[in-house]
Amino acid sequence: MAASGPLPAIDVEVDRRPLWRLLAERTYRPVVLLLGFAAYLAIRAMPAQPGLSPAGQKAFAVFVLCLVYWVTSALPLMVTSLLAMVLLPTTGVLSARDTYALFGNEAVFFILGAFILAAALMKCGLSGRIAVTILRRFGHTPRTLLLSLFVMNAFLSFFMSEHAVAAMTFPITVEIARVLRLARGRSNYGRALFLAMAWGTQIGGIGTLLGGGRAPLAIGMLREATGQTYSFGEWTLAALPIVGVLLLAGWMVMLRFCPIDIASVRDADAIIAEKSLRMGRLSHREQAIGAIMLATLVAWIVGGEEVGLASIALAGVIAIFVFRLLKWPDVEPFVNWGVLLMYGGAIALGSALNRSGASAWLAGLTVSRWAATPVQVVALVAAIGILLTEAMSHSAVVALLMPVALGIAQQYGIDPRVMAPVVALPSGLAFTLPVGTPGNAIAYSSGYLRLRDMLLPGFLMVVIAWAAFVATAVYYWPLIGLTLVR
Amino acid sequence: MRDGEHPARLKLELALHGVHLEASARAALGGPAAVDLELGDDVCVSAPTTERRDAPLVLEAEADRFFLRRAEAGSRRVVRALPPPRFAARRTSRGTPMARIATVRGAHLVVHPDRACGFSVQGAPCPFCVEGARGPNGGAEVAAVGEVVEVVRAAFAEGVAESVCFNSAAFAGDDGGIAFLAPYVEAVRMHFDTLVAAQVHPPRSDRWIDRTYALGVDAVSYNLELFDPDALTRHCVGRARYIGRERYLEALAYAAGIFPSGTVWTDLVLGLEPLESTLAGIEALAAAGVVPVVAAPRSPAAAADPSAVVPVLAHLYRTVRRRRINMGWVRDLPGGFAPLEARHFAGDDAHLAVALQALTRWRLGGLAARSLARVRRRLRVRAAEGPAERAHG
Repeated sequence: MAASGPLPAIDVEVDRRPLWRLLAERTYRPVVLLLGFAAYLAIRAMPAQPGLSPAGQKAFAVFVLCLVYWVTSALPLMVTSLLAMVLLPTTGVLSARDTYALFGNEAVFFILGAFILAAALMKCGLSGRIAVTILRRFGHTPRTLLLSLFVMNAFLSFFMSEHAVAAMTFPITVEIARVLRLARGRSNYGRALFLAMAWGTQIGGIGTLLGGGRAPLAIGMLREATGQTYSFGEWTLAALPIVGVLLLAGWMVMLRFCPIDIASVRDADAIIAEKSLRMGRLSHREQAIGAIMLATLVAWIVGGEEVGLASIALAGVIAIFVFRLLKWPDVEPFVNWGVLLMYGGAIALGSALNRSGASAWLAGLTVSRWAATPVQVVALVAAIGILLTEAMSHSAVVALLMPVALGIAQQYGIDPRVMAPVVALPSGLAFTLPVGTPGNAIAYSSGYLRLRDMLLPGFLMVVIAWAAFVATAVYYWPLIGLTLVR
Repeated sequence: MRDGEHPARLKLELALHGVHLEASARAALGGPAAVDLELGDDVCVSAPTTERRDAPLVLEAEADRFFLRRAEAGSRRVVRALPPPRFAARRTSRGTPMARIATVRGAHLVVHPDRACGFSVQGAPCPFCVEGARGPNGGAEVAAVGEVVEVVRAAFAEGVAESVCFNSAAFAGDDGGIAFLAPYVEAVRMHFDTLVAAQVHPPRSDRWIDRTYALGVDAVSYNLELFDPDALTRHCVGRARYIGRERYLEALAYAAGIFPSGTVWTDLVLGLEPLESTLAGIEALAAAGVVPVVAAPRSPAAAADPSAVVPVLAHLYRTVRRRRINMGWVRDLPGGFAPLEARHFAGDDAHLAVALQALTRWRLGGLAARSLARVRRRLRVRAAEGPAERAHG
């Protein structure tokens, strides 16, 4: 018997940095785990604080533990949430029944429904068809091709997770760059294409409740704390002006930093036409899924408040399976079960902080010291969210900020409903770093973007986004009935 | 035997001129082509035997003791002649003679699961090389992983080896032979707590060097044999034709950045190229972080004059020390001079390096060395991941 079997693909790399650095990196996680636990014990052992109930102190200890683990990713985000779920009943902050009931929050099921609907769109090829159709219809010159790619990414992210859209449109963008023979790291147009992809998905992702889990999570926490909520239409109405401003600003920043340096996109036209040809005509499956998606959207807008967003989403899912448009195994790769676990735990923790009064106490300890008026509070919370999200998971930022924001709202007499978009919208905008969001990372991995291509324009976008957000909150939201002060 | 003559000097003479076996030694050892001797002070040599009665060194046996006698002086010293290991006479459970799968060289068990040298198969062997001369093995099968494990177990049980060195003559693929050795290396690591070395050919891509280290290989050699390009083309046709001198040097330099200091080595054979080339090779290799091993010529035709070789060995020690390459790993080579062994020719005692090397010969020191090697690997090796995996969701 010969022994040789094929060695697995070359899937390892040897880190050549100094050993002390590697050692420091490897010991980082256990050190952080211990530090988090030590902080938890220290807060539990702390003498009673004025304004903080014993249950609040315990909830605060659990919050700090989760904060350390969420910020540092010492544990996977969802496992940290599970830890919160374990600690809340065992420390007596909430009963086990209440804790696990919170896990069944509507937001969790809405996100589940959104995942499955997005899976249906991708699996049947409808999302790809929409992308190719937009590019074919509008992308005949370098300028219109870039603009249509940018807007198309934003548009698709209204209906699907922005990460899924980035993953879907990345191969198309790479192919366009290839046929146009754009040099990696040197072509302005190449840079612009991938910035358009990354920024488009992010900007579109904040437009509706479907672009990511942040908004449903924030709404879920709001609902648990105050009983108030948002309809699909209300949220979209609140977010769309910011989307519009950012699309305009993004387009100008892109052209300023990456002036178009090619004269024609005829070769890309051919590729897009070929893709369109290969797709053939709209299949019955695509038509049916498109119709269900459309009906679901209409139902969210018309009856979301009465029936509930999650119920409508799940009804759409059920319809897809009733008509056998999708098989369950098709769905599984698209459903991020870990995110669902994370949201459940975060909602339970946020609720515990609110019920115990810890969030109000915490707000008094932090933001209240630096902000004197509701407008300053909104500006400060938005700035913190937008900065944190460059280094942390979007959802983790919401999980951390939302309980504090609700506490601040109590103190300043701010309508707590306002705090959901104040936290959720900025936490979806990470323009600067490749690690800020998978969309950025995917674009960066193309090789067309260097770090410095993202840093300066990204920073400019962050400033514009923050200013646009604050202006929208102060001047526009009152017009649609979303006033800062009750 | 001259008073105070260091074993390393004897080794040099034995390696270059061979040893004549007296009838008493011949009766005890049989008539081997080479005899493995332990000369003391951790110096061992594989001395070719010679029929010449005027050979300067003669091996005698009395009862069960062996003596090395200098013919002209008549003085003699006790040495240990290493008999062939007992396992070599055994067969594996599949009936393959164990000696066909592995041989003992110094403290190392050299395992060669494939019998034929790839260059020999292609009709381009290195003429001075014993391995290459062996050629295809009459259709014998490649050793099974289980057989190799059996042989290693037998050798370790007998206490004749401390580490395992794999040898593969395959060179045709992109991997330089490491893919072929992978299952053997993995099996040995799974069953034994030992250091593993590999003598393979340079892979075409450096990523395979990363893979070699990740696999569990603690030390690696891409044997260049000769530094001089013309000599290499003349004597190592296969190496020059199929791989090329530059690729050897590149791969060695890259590996020196991946493996721990002092664990990447290559032989430079004496007598087949001008000594100036060997000196230049020592300098260039050490500059790249590679340990040069000055190997005794494997053919009588290439015999060199010991007095001419002494400066080369002194240079070997001084250069490796100057480059701050760890000299503790490459040791116990009966067919060549490791840098630390060459210290005697430079007139240096190298107390610290010798003490550290001695530590690793102890049970606890060996355990510590193996543990450190494992920790280093765990720190350095990681799964390759795309940028999307590093992003926050």
